[in-house]
Amino acid sequence: MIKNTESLIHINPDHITQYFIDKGFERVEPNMIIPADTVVNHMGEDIRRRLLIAPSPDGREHCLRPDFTLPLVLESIKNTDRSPKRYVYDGFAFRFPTSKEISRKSPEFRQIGIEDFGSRDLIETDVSVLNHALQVLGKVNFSDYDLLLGDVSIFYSILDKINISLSYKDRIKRLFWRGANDIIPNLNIDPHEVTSLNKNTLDKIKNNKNDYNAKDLIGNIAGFDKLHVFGGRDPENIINNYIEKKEIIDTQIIDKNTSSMLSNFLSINCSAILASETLTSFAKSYNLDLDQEIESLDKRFKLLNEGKPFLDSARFQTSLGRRVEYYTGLIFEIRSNKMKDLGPIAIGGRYDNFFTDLGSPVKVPAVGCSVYVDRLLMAGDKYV
Amino acid sequence: MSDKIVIGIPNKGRLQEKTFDLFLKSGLEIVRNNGDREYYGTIEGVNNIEVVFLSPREISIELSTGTIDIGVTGLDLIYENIYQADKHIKCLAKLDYGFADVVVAVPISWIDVDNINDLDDVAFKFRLASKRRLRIATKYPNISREFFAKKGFADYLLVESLGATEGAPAYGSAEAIIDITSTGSTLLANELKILTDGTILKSESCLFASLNARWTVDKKKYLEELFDKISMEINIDKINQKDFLENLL
Repeated sequence: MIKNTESLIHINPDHITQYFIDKGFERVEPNMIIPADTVVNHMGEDIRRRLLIAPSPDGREHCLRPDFTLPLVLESIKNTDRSPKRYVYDGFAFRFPTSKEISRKSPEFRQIGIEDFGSRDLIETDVSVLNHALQVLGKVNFSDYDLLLGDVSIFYSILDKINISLSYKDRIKRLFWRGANDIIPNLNIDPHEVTSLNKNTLDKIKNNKNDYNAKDLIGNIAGFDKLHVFGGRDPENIINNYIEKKEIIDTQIIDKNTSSMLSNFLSINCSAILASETLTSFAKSYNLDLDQEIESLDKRFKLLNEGKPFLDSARFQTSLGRRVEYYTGLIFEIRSNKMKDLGPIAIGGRYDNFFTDLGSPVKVPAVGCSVYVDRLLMAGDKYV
Repeated sequence: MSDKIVIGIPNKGRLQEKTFDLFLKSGLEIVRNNGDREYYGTIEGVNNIEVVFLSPREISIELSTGTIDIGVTGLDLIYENIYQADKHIKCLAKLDYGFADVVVAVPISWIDVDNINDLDDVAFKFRLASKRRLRIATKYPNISREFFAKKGFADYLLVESLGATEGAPAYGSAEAIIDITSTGSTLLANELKILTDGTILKSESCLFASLNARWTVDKKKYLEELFDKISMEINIDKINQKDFLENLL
C-alpha cells in the first residue's frame, strides 16, 4: 500500500532541541522536584491546585517542576561561576491543565526552551532569543502563526514619570499584573466602601503621633485598652499606611488626564512596523518624554528585521505580558493563527529581577523562551 | 446488594443532637444499636433506611462518592471537600441549625484594613518588603482560593491549619485567617475582626442527597416516603423534591 505522505507535515520536536544545541546552547536537566512553597511564593497561591505535590517525611511539601525557568534559576543562583550562560532544556513540566486548555488533558506537558543568563548586551540578547524562537519554528516547517510583541518596561517608565504617590503606583502595577480588563475605574478607592477611614481618626493620629507609641495609639483608635496581635506588621507601618491612605482618598490622586493617558496607552495594539510611530504620537499628545524607550524598542525591531521582515505581520500590544509579573522588558508570544483558543505556542521575554527575587545577591539579566510542544503539534496538525 | 437508603448522620456533638431531635419531631427515632461507639444504626419502625454515623467531613466525602445516599452535614464542608459540588450533590432541605459563616479575619490592630481591597494593598507591600507572601491560616483552602480568585486577590499564601486557626496571628504562624464563626466571640478574644466584604459563605446544616449514588426505583420510593414523614418539620420544597426525584437516574 502506498501512502501519500507528501502533503503531511510532520513536526518533530527533537529537531527544535537539536537546533538550539547546534547554535551553542548547553543542554541542561534542571531538577524535577522542587520545594512547593518556593513555587507558590513565587507564582502565587492560584498555582497550588495545579501543582503535583507530595509531602516529604519532614512535613515539607515538594512538587514536580511546573516549568523549567524556576528550577534553572534556583540552581544558577547557587552557581559561583557568573559568566554568561546559554541553556537549552527539553523535557516534561507538570501542571494540571486549566479548563481552557485544549491541547492536553494530562498534567505533564513537554516544554523545550532556552535561557540566556547574564549577557550584558541587552538589546542584542533580546533580539537573538526572539530570532532563535522564530528560526526554530521555521526549522520544523511551522509558519502559520501570529507574532505578538510587547515591552512592559515602557509602562513602568511611564509610571515613573507621572506625578502620583508611590502607593498609587503600586496599586496601578498590581492591577496591571492582574490583567484587570479596565484598570482605571478600579484605581480610585471608593470612600463609601471604607468604614473606619475618617477625618476625626486621622486628626487624632496626627495629633498624637509623636506623644504616644504606635501600639497604644492603635489600641486607642480601635477602642481597646491594649492590643497584642499585630499579625507580623510593624505598628508604625500600620499608622503610616493609614495616613497615606486617607490622604490618597482626600486628594483623589488620579486626575482625568492621567487616567485617560494610562487607558490609551494600554489599548495600543498596532502593526509592529508602526510601533515607534504610534508610541511617538502617543507620547507627544500627553507631553511625555519616552524618547529613550522608543529608541530602544526601535533598535531591537530594526535588528529583528535585518534577518527577515518578521515585523510585517507582527502586532505590537502594550498590554502583552500582563499577568506575568516577572517580565521586565521585551515580551513575545507566538500563537496559532487558525486556532484562536489555543494558548500560546511559544512565549518569551526578559525578566531581569527573577534572580534577585529568588534570593540571588547579584542582579542577573535574563531572557528566555519556551515552546509548548503539545500546542505546537496541535496547531501543526490543523496546518496540514 | 442491599436496596436500602443509607443516610449519614453526624457521629457526635451538637449537630448529632439537633439531627436526632429533628427526626424525633417527625416521629422517627434514630437508634444507635450498641452504644456510642457503634457506627451503624437504624430508624425505629423503618426498615428500608440504614443509618451510618460519620464525622460531618466524612459525610461530605461519602456523599460525593455515592457511598451513602443522603446525609446531614454543613454546607461549608460540602463546598470545601467536593470539587464542583453542584454536579455531585443536591441540597434537599436547609435544617435551620448549625449556622456559621466562613469569613476572612485580620488583626483588630490593622486599622488601615477594612476590606479585601485594603488587604490587597497591605499584602502587596508586605511581599515587596519581605519577599514573601502574606500568610493566611485556614481549614478551608479550596473555598478560600476560589473566593480570592473571584476577588482578584493573589498576594497570599495559605497555611493549612489543623487546630485552633484563630490563634495563628497571635503566635505568628500566619498574618490573617479564614475560619468559621457563629457568634464572633472567639475571633474577638483573639483580637481579630471580620473584613466588611469578607464573608465567604453563610453555612448551615442541610440534608443532602448524592447524585452519584445508585438510585433504584425502590430507593426513590423510600426517599419519597421519608420526605412525607419529615417534610412537616423541615419544610422541603415540594417542587424541588419532585424535580430531584424525577431527575435521578
